[in-house]
Amino acid sequence: MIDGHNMPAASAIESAYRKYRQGMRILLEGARAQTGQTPREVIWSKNKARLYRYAPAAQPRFAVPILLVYALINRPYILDLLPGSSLVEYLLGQGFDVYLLDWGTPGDEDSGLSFEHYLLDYLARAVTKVLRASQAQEVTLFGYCMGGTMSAMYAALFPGPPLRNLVLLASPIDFAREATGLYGLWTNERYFDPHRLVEAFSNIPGELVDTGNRLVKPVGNYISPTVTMWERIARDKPLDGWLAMNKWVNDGVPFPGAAFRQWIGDFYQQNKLAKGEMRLRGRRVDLARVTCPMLAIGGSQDHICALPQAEAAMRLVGSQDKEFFVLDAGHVGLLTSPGARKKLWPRLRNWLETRSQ
Amino acid sequence: MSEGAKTHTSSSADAAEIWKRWFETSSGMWSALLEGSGGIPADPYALYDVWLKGVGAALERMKAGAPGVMDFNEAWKQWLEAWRKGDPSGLAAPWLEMMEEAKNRMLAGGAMPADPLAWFMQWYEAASETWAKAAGDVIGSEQFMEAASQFLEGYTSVAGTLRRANEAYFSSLQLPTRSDIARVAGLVVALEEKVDRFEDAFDDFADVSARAATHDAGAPLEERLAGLERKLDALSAALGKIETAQERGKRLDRLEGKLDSVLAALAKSQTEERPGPVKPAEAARRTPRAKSARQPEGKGPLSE
Repeated sequence: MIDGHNMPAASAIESAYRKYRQGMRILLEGARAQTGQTPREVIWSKNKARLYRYAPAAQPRFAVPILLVYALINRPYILDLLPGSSLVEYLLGQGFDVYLLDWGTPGDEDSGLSFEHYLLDYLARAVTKVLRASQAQEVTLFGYCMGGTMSAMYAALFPGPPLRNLVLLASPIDFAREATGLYGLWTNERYFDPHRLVEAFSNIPGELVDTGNRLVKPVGNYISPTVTMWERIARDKPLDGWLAMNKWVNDGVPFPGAAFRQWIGDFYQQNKLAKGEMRLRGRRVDLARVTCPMLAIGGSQDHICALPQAEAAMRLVGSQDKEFFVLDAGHVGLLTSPGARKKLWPRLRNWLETRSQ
Repeated sequence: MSEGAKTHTSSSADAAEIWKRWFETSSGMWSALLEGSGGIPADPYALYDVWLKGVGAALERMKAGAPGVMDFNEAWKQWLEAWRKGDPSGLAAPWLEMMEEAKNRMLAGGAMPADPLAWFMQWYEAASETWAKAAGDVIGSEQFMEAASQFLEGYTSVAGTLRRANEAYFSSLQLPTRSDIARVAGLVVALEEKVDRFEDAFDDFADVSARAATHDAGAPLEERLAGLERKLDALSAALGKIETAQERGKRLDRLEGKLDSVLAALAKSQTEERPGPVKPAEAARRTPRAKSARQPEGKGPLSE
């Protein structure tokens, strides 16, 4: 790490030591960064969930607000990671009224929360609160990852107004084994019993879920981040983005046991959603009932939600106005990569612009 | 070391011999210490017999093949060959292929950079792709899945047992456990759920009652408004009639004015048409008549 050919030896050594100390501090104390900095206020809460309204810089130009729905794993500030790398900030700047439903951190008392509760009790009520706060008649549901799966199910259960548009970003819809890659293999009934995990842990620890996600690409997820960190420190490159991303990656939340059983059993192992066999409190979730305009987005490098999983929404929903867009990015790169900012976000704005008047 | 061990410190160039002597000495020392075998050393030496013989044989071959100077590259190749042939796990061959591929990738970039960091990055980029592919092949295999499944089963069993044991232990100590705290938290969540229901019901009532109040209050108001509208219509109709009469009066006035103008013009023209000698009778008749009957201008029978 001794850089600078013209530096005196003492300065070079001091520089090397400073960089070494910086790297070791990060490794020992963890990545720290200021994330989720866009101003917001809580307009509704239920148990651990919070519904946030982001403060717009000016009066919204569009009548239809956007409700962002994130997954039950990891934290939603990936949608508002850093200034300049925030989808929330971008949408606000384009004149949209933006809301976010944060599911919160479940405790042991929440181990019985299932998709029925999250969709029919939390999300349904959140939509009502958004309409009341925005004084709008319709709302756009924007789901990311599992949040998109949940949004699609909500749209199937409650088609028509007040649901105006549906946006699914890297959202798995079809969980057929041939479409899910390594996840399909690992969750095979022969090898994986979700009930044992729930019996042992109640809520599945975030670290366990994170381990499963990282093992999809072990070298890239375990070794490359550290190598990248040292390289950026040695080259005096900015570390803000790396720190924010690594903070988020290591900031998982427990997965409620009942919802975990459903996610593995009903979705991955039995693929009930794509087959039309999913039922929530006795109500059948039929994606063909979705009739609102839909935009589905997938990443060609996404190993968590494979492209066929996201693209399945196109053949399963009943919407006439539907579109599928592919970006050359991974699961998180769809939100934070430079390519996402240049290509995906403007595409998203154009699509929403004409459907949010 | 004991006195016995110290007596065997005579040096020997043969490493195997040194190892053998050290082992015999130390095993005798431990046996004497434990009074287990009356000075006769326990003989786990038999466990190392095969290895020692192999090392000795290798040394002999090395001495015969290259006396004095050992060729490191040759020794490395021989070691690799011996490992590849004798590898029971089957991992040696793919590992060697992987390292070979990584080396080729690395060397494909040309000369090695002088900067150690750049060298490291070049090496990592060359090797990581190979490692990732190899790791992917392993974790995607059925053998890995079976092993992982067994590990997970054991892990969850242990975790569950520990959890239940800790619960029982802390419960016996009269200390609150996770399940106790979760139970209390669950009661709070249930209470919040009831409050949420009240709030939802109130919001729904406010919405519905606001609509009902507007409807009830609007009906009579609408009737009154309709009555007002009827009166306004009548008033405007009456105003319209008044305006019509006024208009007609104005038209009559204008018409009369025109008629007066016409009469005046006629009178004037009649006066101008008789300019010749006036007959005495006419003059006499006209003059007195003119004097006596002369009307002020514009005041003839037709002047009004």
